Amino acid sequence: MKTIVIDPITRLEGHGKIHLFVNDDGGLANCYFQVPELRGFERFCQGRPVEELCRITTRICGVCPDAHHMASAKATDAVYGVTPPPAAIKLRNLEYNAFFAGDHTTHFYALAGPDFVCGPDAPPAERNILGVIAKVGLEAGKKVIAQRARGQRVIEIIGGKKVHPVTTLPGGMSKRISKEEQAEMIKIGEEMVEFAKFTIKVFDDIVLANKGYVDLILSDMFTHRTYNMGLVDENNKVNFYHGMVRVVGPDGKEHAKYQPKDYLNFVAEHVEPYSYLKYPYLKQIGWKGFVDGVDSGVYKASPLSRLNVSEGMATPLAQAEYERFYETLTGDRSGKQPVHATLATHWARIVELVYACEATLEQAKDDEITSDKIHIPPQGIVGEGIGIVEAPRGTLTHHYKTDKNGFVTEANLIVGTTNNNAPITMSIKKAAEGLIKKGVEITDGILNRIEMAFRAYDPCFGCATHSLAGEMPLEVIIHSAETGEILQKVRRNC
Amino acid sequence: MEVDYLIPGCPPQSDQIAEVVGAVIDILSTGKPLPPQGTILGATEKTCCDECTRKREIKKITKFIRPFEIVTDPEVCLMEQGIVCCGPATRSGCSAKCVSAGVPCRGCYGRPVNVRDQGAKMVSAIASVIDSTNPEEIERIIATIPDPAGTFYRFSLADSMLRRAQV
Repeated sequence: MKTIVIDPITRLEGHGKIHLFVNDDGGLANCYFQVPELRGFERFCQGRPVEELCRITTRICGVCPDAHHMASAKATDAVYGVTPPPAAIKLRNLEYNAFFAGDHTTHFYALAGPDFVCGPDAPPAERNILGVIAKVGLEAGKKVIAQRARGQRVIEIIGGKKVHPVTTLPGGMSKRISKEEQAEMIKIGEEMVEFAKFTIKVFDDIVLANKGYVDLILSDMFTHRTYNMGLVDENNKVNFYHGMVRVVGPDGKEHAKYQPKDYLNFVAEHVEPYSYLKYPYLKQIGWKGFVDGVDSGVYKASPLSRLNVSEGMATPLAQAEYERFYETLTGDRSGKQPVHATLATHWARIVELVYACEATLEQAKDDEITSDKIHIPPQGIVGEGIGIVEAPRGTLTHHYKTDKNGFVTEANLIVGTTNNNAPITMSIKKAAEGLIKKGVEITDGILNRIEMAFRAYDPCFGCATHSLAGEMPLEVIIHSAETGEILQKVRRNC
Repeated sequence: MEVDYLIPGCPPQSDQIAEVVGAVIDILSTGKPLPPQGTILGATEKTCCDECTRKREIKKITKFIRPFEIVTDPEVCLMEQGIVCCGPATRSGCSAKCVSAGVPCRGCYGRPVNVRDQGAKMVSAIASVIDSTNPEEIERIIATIPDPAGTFYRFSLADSMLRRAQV
């Protein structure tokens, strides 16, 4: 038997490793996906004043700090049993939508884009953000960078600081917004909506117009019929900040809809000895291993999942794009039939990007955001709180327990990517099975297609060690199982 | 660990990164000599307090409070409102962003020039705002500081003099 190791896998946040075991007849025997990293945030949150966690957990990641900030803010509100005033909740929503608009832009253009815009077989040295800019043009590249800056600027205005925001407090927000700042955010919102339209066109021209890509998206190799999870508002529309968690089955039927505080009744975690990352699953269905279908508790929580659990988008352009998405992929524009093609996650991310941009504009126009009433100091303490938001990569849960003075005794964080650990493992295996066959030479392009299977989930393994693709070393070694002799080496910038 | 240069901040502010990149371009294009090894780039020689625009009236306090317990006055020094703020023990360079946004500094730019230990500097800063000379009263006031070690050393424990990590 041969062993192939893809390490490190590129264009993700943090560190992951893929092992492929290949039979003597050239077929795939098994596949392991490992996260060999342990960082211990849950442990060193213990003993801290709970209101500091929104400033500590942002440091988990430089890519989605805002998601941790907001989940922490909601959990901390719950610890003190306080509801922030309406203006504070509106500010958090606005900041969070602007954050999504920036983050989804990064993923589509810098992380996923290279595979589609430059093509999965392009040389690694071209298959990166610079290659994307070379293909779509310098002007388009500038638009992407400007869009990133817009998201960051709104975070700075409301959150006080780019990258790691600081302004949520239990019971509200610490920073008031001036009329001038509101006017600036309205202008940013208008530019964001224009950028969203531009992105729809880029996706149309480059991906949807290319039959090869559409076939790849719809191919069985990249399909998993699992449960899906995501937050929905009171009308079952996609929402990133508030609402209830909804889970639908592979057939589109609702499995559960629950308040964040009840998550432990619905989600449990499975452990494998070879990875530090746990495998959450639906408790009422049970862990049946790395398999899909209605009897397996494996679920996905991703942009695609959020669309699958919702009944539409709350803004007009995004709703139109939602209908086109389902019309194209299932033939039913209502979205009642879930889409199970992993690679359609990229398109789902664009539908969400459009929503985030429209919502930023809409919410920036609301005059209540300049109110002085943004903080209600809490009067008592409950001692336990759960906050759930949608991180760009999936449902994010912060669960804290504290002593009577609000010092943390226990913290449990289920981050976006953790939800998808089992589906990622399954997707890699299925892609590898479809690609690694007897007599087929294992090329860079094949290995990249296997990486594409997990990149659709936009995985974030905890710290931003991500670098331009093709710059990080990647080595695949195939051994003979009998002699241990090295039969083939595929190297990338080693 | 020896490094060529150091840019402080968690994370460094984008304008500071741009400044450092600008300096590198300048050096490459004009042939200017590189700064000495170990130079701190993208920050200034002052403290966060020096950049803060809040008013300070050298007011003493009798009790520390948590940042969420009051609706803070946007004009007055947070420490003088009773909120532990690491501004006095933190290098400037961020334009006092957190304090401007109504929350206390947590020290992410690290220790200032000529300060060996960020936490020790905080102890000295705290001592100067306590309004008492009575040891028992001082003890009571100090006990109201929430999580002193976790706050004073939030970003600098590994670089501190504690447990003789450094001497």
